Amino acid sequence: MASKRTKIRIPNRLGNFEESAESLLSSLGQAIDEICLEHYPRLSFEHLYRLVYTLTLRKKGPEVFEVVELHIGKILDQRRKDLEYYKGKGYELLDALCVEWEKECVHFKLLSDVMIYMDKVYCKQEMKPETYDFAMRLFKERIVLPLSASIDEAMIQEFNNIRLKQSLDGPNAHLCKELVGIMETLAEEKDNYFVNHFEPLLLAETEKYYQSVLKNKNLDSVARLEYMKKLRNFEYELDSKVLNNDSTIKIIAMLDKVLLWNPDFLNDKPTLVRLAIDTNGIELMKELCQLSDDSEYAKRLTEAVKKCLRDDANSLNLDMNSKKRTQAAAKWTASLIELYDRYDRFLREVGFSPDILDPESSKDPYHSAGLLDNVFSEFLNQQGKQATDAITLYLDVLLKMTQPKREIERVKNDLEASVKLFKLLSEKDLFVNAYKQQMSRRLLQHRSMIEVERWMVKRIKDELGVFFTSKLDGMLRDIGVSNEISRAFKNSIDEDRWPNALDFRPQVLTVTSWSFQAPSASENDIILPIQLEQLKLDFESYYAKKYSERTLQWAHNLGYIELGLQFDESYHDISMPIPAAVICLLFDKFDQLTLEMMEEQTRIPEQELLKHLVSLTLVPKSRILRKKPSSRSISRNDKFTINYSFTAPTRKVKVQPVASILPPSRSDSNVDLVQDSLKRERLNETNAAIVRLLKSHQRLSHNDLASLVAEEVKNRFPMSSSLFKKSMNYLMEKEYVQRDPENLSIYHYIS
Amino acid sequence: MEVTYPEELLALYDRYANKELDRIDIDGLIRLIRDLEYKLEDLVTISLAKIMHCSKLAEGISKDTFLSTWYMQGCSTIAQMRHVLEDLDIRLQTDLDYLAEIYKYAFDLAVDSNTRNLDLDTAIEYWRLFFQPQYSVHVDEKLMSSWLRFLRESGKQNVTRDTWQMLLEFFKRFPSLEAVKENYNEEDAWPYIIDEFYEYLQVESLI
Repeated sequence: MASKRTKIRIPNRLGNFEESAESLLSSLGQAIDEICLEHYPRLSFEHLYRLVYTLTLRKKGPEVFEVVELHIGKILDQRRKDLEYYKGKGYELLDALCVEWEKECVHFKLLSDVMIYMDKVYCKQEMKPETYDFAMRLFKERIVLPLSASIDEAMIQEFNNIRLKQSLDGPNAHLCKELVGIMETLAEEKDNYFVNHFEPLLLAETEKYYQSVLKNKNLDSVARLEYMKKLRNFEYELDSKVLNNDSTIKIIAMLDKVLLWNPDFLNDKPTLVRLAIDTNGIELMKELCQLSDDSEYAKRLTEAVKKCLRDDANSLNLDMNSKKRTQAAAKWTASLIELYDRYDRFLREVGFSPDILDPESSKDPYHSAGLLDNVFSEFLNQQGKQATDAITLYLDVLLKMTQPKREIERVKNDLEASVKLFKLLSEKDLFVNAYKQQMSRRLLQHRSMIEVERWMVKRIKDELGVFFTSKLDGMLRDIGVSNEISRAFKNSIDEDRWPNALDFRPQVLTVTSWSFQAPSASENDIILPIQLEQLKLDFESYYAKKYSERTLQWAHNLGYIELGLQFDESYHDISMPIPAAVICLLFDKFDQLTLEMMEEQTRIPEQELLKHLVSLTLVPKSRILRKKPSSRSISRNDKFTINYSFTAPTRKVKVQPVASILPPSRSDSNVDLVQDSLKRERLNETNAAIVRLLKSHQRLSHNDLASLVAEEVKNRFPMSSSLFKKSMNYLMEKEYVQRDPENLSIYHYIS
Repeated sequence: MEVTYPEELLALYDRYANKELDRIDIDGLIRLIRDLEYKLEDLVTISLAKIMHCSKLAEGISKDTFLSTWYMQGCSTIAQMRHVLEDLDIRLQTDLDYLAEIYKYAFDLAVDSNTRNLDLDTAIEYWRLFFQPQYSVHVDEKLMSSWLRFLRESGKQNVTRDTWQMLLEFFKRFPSLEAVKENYNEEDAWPYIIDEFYEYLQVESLI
């Protein structure tokens, strides 16, 4: 091949050099008219191509496009006048416009075929729109824009009609799709006519439409939800068919806003949530969640769930003043646990993610992290001491059920289920105190299985911390050690010295671990029956030998004796507090006794004696003794005998000590005592925490210190402003702490 | 440096001193105050005690302290001393910081040496002095009397240093019942007793 580039020579006959430009331009104009009138047979492609070619070579580009604009414009103006006939006729207008569009597109295509040389050479160089695009712009300017109000109106009307019919059957949707297609083809500097003009209008009109549809719609909540779902599904179907993806997403998002935030639905939402919860309507709840991922929506939904839970919890009735206090408490607590589990299951099944890691940043707006615990802890702490009492009573009931050595696993499961409740109590010290009281009674009266008690104390330790359980551990240790001692003691005594058929279980309790008041001197003075007295002395000397440094004191009021008694009708094993048994045993020697004789024979103080006589003679379930005259109170001249006509449905009978026969003010003092010691403990804890914190920080502002202290003690009890200030007052007075002289709300540690 | 005190000042010391103790005791002080034509109930007498560096009234004032104090003040006659006190009296009425300084000092002066707290009756007497209308902390009479009634009704026996100190701040910030009602906040660093007082005012419907 030759290295020299050869120029392609265009044959002369291709050009129309002999004609003037004006004549060529007017021929082009005529040709355009012919194209638009579809007089195709009169046209020659070759001729026209040459004509445009010549004009291009003569650099007549601008003049050519003037001719195009003039002729096409004239024709389009005429078409528009024709179309104006359909103004206000909705469908017909759109249909006619469509037809027109299709026709013009063909014309424009033909024209641009003829103009190809112009497009390639002139338009490209000059960066002008090519013929086809130029013609499109004319279509927009001459037809669409002048008719836009009518087109918009017709389109919106079509959309709304389709929505009203809720059916995509028929040509309407297709027509809309065509129109949207036309608008999207009409390019604008940025995007196109549809995006810039029609889409915003459609969004606004759609919003209006749905708002008016929803308004005054008288539906019950479920029907409304169904209705909303139907609307949404249909709109989605419609949009997917007619619009592009982007617009569909925009419309649906807007629709969600209209649907989800319309006042009727907002009112319904709690009802629907309630319904879902009550009927275990997992699907319904899922639907409600799936309606939106909007965080505000999710928040409201979650709030509705919380409200239901709160209402449900509040509807559980707890009457701690009733006679059947224990049953009431147990039932209430069991119901609460059941409620917790039910909601927990429900939320899990609905798909609330239970992750607690970082609920703030979690993408999923539905999470149950802390939801149940928050509501329950708020609820329990509103109930105050009553809740604490009820829960400990429930635990007491459960633990006592372990006694017959059956259903251990079931009881353990129930105990385990209760952990989630008591760990939410803010006054944990109060809880453990109450638990301790009941546990000591169970242990001393052998009302539960020691293994389960140990297991439960370990669970409490796991959940609340070792701080709370050291005394509980101490109690368990005492019981364990006592069993050992008991066995060893029995082995150390000659069998013939051991009283017949007597089971003696001494329990040696460390004073500091148990919350009983130390036994009074008078308790030690009680005269026991001779065999018991001997046993007592033997044990004392055995114990003194074994632990020479320890002092032993007898707390008869805490001990129990079981006596076997044959009555007229039946035989019973009757367990009762030691002093009561001492009274009963007197009847081995006497047929009839007065109060005075009993005092003399037993040296039980009068008040104590009266208390035990009340449970032995006046309490119907344990009327082991009878008195003359029989009356509802005990007086000094009464004469007591064994009540041989006593009978009971079970072989084992328990004489419950009456709480107290003294006026209530005195017996309340015990409660006060517990309360006072709790307060003291809290103050001590607070003092210690403040000193610790100030020691390490040296100086802290009032607010910082208060919140740090609250944080420090929160696992034990809730901090109050008054407790904090009392503590500060104390520490300043004792000069552990002082205020900053410059800033009185900053505290210093004084070393 | 050896200082030669003016004869007149030395004579004044001799006039008020207790010869046996060689210091001015409480009786001497009382005579001095009388000669200065002030009464014991005048607040400025606490200022007097302060400039003479008296830390406990019962201990009196040593010869050195008496002489050096007045020498530094440029006084050697009763009339000159009186002039100093008049100036201090004006400062008590106009200078809040000075009043606060004297208030703080008064607790140490008044508190019994073997206790940390001031007994209530003494505290009340002093409060009555400090919160008279002419001095620079102006406490509404209703607020003041409520405070005193509260202390008595709740059976408080004595007043801690912190309470003493913070009460002045409290009255500075809240000079009237209305001010307490509007702006008092129990979450702030007020002592517990002032929170109690605030609750008392609420319970008694005083605010």
